[in-house]
Amino acid sequence: MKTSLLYIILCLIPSMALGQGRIQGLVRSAADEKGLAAATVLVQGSSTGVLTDEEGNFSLDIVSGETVLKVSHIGFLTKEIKLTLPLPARIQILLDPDEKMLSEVTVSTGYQQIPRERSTGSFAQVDQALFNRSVGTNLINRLENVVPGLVFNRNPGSAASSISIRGQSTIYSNDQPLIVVDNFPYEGDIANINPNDVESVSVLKDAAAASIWGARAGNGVIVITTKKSREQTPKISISANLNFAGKPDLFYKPRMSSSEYIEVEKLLFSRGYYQSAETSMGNPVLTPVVELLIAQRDGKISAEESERQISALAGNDVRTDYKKYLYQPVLNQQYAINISGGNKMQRYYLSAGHDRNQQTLQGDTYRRTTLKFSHELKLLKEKLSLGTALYFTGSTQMQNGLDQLYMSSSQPVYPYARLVDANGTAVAISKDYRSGFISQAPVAGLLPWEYKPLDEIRLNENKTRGTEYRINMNLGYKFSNALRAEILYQGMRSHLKNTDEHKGESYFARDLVNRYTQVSPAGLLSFPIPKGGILDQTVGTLTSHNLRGQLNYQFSTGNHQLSILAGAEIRSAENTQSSGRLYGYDPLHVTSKAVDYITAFPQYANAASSLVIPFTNDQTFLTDRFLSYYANGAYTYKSRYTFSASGRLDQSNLFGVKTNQRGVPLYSAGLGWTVSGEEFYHVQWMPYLKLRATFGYNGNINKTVTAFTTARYYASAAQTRLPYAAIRNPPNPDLRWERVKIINLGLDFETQNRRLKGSLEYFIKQGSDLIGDSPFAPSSGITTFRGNVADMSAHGVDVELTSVNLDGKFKWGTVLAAGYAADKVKDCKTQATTSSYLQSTRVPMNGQPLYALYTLRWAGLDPANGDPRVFLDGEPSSDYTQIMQVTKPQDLISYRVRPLVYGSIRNNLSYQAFSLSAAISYRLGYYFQKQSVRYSDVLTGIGSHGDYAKRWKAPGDEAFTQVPSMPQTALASRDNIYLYSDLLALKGDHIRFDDIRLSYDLPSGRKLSGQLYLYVNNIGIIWRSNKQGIDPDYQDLPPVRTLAAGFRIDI
Amino acid sequence: MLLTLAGCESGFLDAVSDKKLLVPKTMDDLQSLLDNHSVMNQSPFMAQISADDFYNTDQGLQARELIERNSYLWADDLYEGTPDLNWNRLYEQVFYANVVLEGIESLAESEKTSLRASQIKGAALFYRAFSLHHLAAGYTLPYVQANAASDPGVPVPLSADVNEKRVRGSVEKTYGQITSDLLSAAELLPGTVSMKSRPSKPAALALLARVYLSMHQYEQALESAQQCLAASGQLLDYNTLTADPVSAVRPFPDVFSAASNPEVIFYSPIINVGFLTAVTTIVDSTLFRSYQDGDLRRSLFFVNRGNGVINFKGSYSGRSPVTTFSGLATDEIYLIAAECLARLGDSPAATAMINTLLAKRYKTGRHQEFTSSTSQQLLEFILTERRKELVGRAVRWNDLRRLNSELQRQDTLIRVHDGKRIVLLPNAAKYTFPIPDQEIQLSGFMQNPR
Repeated sequence: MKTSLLYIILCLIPSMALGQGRIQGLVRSAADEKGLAAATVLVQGSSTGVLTDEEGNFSLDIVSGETVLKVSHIGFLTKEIKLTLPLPARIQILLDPDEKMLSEVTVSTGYQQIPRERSTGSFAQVDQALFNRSVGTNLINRLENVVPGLVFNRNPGSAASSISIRGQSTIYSNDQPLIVVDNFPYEGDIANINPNDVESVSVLKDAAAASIWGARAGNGVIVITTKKSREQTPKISISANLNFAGKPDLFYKPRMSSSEYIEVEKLLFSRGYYQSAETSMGNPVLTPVVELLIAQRDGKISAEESERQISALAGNDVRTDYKKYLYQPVLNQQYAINISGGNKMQRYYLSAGHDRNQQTLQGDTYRRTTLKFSHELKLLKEKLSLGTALYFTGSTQMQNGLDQLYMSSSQPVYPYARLVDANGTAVAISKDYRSGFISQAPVAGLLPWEYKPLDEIRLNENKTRGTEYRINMNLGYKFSNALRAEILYQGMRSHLKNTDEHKGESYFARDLVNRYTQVSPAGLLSFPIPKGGILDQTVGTLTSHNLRGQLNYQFSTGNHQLSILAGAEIRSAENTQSSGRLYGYDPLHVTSKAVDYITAFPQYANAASSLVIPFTNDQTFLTDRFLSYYANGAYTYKSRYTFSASGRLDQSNLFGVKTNQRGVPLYSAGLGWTVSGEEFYHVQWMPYLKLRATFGYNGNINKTVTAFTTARYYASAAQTRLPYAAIRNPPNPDLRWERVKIINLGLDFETQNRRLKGSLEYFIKQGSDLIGDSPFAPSSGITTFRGNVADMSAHGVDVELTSVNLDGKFKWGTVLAAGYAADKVKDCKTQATTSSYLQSTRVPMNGQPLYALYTLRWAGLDPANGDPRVFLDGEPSSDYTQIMQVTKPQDLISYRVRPLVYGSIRNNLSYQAFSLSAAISYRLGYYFQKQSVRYSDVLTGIGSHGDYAKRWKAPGDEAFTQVPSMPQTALASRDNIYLYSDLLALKGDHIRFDDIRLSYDLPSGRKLSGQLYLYVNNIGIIWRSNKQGIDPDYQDLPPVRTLAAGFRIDI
Repeated sequence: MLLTLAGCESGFLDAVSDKKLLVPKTMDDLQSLLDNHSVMNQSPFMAQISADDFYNTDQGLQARELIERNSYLWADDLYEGTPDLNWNRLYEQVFYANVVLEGIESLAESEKTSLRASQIKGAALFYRAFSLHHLAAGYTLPYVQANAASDPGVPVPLSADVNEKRVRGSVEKTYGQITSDLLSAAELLPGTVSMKSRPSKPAALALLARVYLSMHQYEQALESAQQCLAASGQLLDYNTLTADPVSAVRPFPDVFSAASNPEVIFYSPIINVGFLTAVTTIVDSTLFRSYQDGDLRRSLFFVNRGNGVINFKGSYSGRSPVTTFSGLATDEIYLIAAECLARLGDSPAATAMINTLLAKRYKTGRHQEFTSSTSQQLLEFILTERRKELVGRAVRWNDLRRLNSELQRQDTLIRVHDGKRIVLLPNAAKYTFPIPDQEIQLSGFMQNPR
């Protein structure tokens, strides 16, 4: 196949005519002097013609003497130029913008720049101005609400992913769009890219747009292009901003109050619930109230004293201390500078950025420094071009903050804990062991065993240092005007080092030393874990190489324009990680001590248990390899009809599959028709109208499934120390690749004077062989099976409208983006159990959305005892066993958890140098599961939701509450009937006032221009469907309003 | 360039994506699957909790998981929709064993016939039988020869294909597979192993003896037990155990240490749930009182915490992290041999057998040889000693099931919870655990009556 492909490409190279004159030149926009790509340069009266390259260059061989060149480009007035050969030098042709026409836009696919008017696919473009409208360290967040069809998933039940383009088309495979930075997929941390270096972002949404990325394009592609220099005088641009946010509202989520919690503790104590902990050999931790109750029972303190101390505790709320001592205001600073310039032969761009973020938790900071240098060189009469770009990012993340504190590994701290005493000194909270046991430790010669959270912030230093280097090189050679060959290379090395140092005084270190302390029969102590600090280190390195060879062929004559590219790509990425721990670490002299990892030591806190010293040394070595072949072509006739096609074969080193399962061929085709270019078209008020239609397949890679039985190897079994292996996947000989078929119909229009322009797209997406988990009969040996379990189909609409409402001194424009996406599971091959549907939103069911909330029909509380009831065979029932056994999955009521309709409206107002832009967004047609009280947590002393206060207490209460009564003993099935009922499925529809931006353009002198701006984000919800005041997208912590101020100056 | 790429395609794409992954093919790979002892060597916990050796306080039960509480109280709905970890783990073991058996079949011809390959195959057969014997003991009716062909058994997967259709089959079919796997395993397995987590020939014979006993096939049980003892019959003299403060908490030597317990034939811990080691899990007082003065087991098996709280501590897992031993050990084989001899009428041999064992359990010089007047007395004595010796090994539940078929040996079990008496009558349907809810829903198997 590859050989024949090469053959085709060679055949397309036109024979080189000799003995002719040559015109070389550059087509530029008269407005901003930017080179114009893909402008048509025709010799009048002949069929000879070329298209300009990406920078606007062209060269043309002409017979002789006098000739007239006709230069045209969409969005510009066509120009005719008379020339006499030979020409003394390169000519420059300036085209004047055609105010009546659509402004020129090219979109980048990562493989080529396509002029928008000749594209058939679905692209969304975010230019620099729009990209810089919002403020922030992370690049991806700036895409929120500016791309139709791109949605940020916030509802925790809806997905693990953060963004999706046109809804979801996979269940358990990678569901994130492919991110391409400067022509190559970006494997590093996207936080390493400085947003100030971004020139533009295009989002590829349908098969025709994205299929060039083949097997990784199933979730759409985000193509990020960073800035380069344009041929011009040196320019310096400086920008800076400050972004401020207050502390989050920790009281937003209702919790059981301290006194309610204490009441439950007293109840549990009276029932003897704590007896097993009290008598346990492990000295497990008990809360201060339980300790007081024990002391009182044992006659150590009086009932009055106990009650006095308990009621004092009841007045505390640990969230007050959290907010005061664990949180801090956010203050993010961002600085950036770039210098660019050059001449005809070479151009350069140099930039530096620095971010300093003080994050929301005390002890958390983030710093990032980015450097970029790019250079382009043209040689051999501009036939040879060489581009080089170097990138560096250095970052430091400190993570010493504490948020939710825990009393033991499974239990959050009691709500009446205090972090400081009356004098503001850090105090200890009960943690891991009984207080009496802890207080004995120093007496017995052990280290102090108390846990004072506030001291811990400075006693641990968790630091992650990242360094990333990237080099991009491209070498292009123009064989003729039509044929150009290029080789592109990207190398990347990113290094991440995490050091988590627990100082000798930290609880982490003291606790480990104490737990392993040995007492000899003579009472002498020995310390298998030496006293001192503990240093955990993880070092990860990601190295990737990409090499691409591509031939571009562009041919233009009269009515025909042909553009073809074909190439091959090889890529390899290696990810290694090693981690380990040093005991007895002394940071002053960087020394550590040896420990015995073999012997099982009886534990000081629980003599019945013997444990070996934790051994954390480990290595991972991951390799990703791809080999791809691709081709893509577009043919335009009379600038009106465009036909495009593309195909790609991806092969990768998938593990545990047959050789022929390693690759997948994918293709697409499209048609475009500029109706307004037809002679019969006479609609005055709409001078531009284009229709597009595409069809094709994208793919999705899933490395977690295999055709053969695969296992994971481990070095040492807990007891035998023999190497062992655990089966990871059962054999699945029928394994197939996930594919997504996309049909896209688009309409682009523009009314006269561009009062209203926009696009309307309808798409159908059909995912086949989606990989999902289905519960499996356990007698097979597995309980869930991951394989091709379902198909899905989705359809939807993307709308983008831009209107100029007022023009003149006072300008008012509106941009509306709307998306509608409805998906449905089809042909689901397996049926899960009722309980798995109730517990997860990701189990596919025929005819239901991929992500759905399944509930039982609520039948109100039992008036006799406040038991929750749901309908079973049409009757209210509280027979929880029967309900779960009889209710069939198809009897459940389902709700969509991802918005059906979403979008934003942005209004831009400007008066002279002042501009104001405000955005609101809306999400409609979805549900969320309201959190509520779980008595299994209440009755095990963990605490639960604040709905506890509203619970049914006595007959008659059912008139005004739906919260079940507290049962005598915890019953998980009773909790579940209530929590998984449709009573708690609430409508998520809401409208949010996202942000507002006020800017002032500095009076632009000859050498200076710039802008000052203020930006407020997360302003708040302005309408919501639910009456409980819950932000449907944030049930735990609502986003904090941020305020930013900044400037940009260009010299 | 395209041509160059085409040339290197296969080698380039052969790079392993994660060096820790493997497609099990070699004998080392297959052995490493069987060495996954935290999957392969586990025994179910429900038999331990449902039997009458231990009781738990009402307070203690509050802290237990749902399935522990329900199996303790012989609840009507054992699972309440939650998964049964026992069933799932046992079939996971069968699946691993089948993967290994198929792996052996696809080895190169020269390797397939090697000694190592046949030992790995023997081990896989043993594991499959070990899991199936637990499944049969839990989820089918007690074995009765007359009904074995018609009583529903448990599914017996013989291939690693998870999509293969499975049926419950009959009790006869289930036990038939167990015994035939064990007979083959006994032929293939080595006489001794370096790690007691690995099956050996004595282990296969020991399990065979245990299974034949539960089938009331005393001749075969005796024969297997005698073969086992001939190969590995060593007993641990409890007088040799030192009593330093550490080992007093866990008195028996670590299974995997150099000075291992010679009685351990095959290591298997019960899936660790809180019930097994909770302080509120108290040994039955009548049982505790049955250990006479001079019986070392009284202090080595139990710890008296006062107030009537007597906890079990005598696990043969020794000092390994909190695990309760329910594997195969020589003492059980002595007891099987003694019982079979007594039932088959060879009282002198049975008496000698039980006396040999007990001599190692009493303080030196304190053991009084048992002499019986009737064979019935002898059998009763052996069965009492069996209960005393094997306490905490999760064999009691299956003994109750087996002995319920003998009128004079029937027991009625009683629990008191929240002031109410809960009674489990001999031969009650609740002696057979229900098939887990997920299995019924997804396989459509017939449920056991409850």
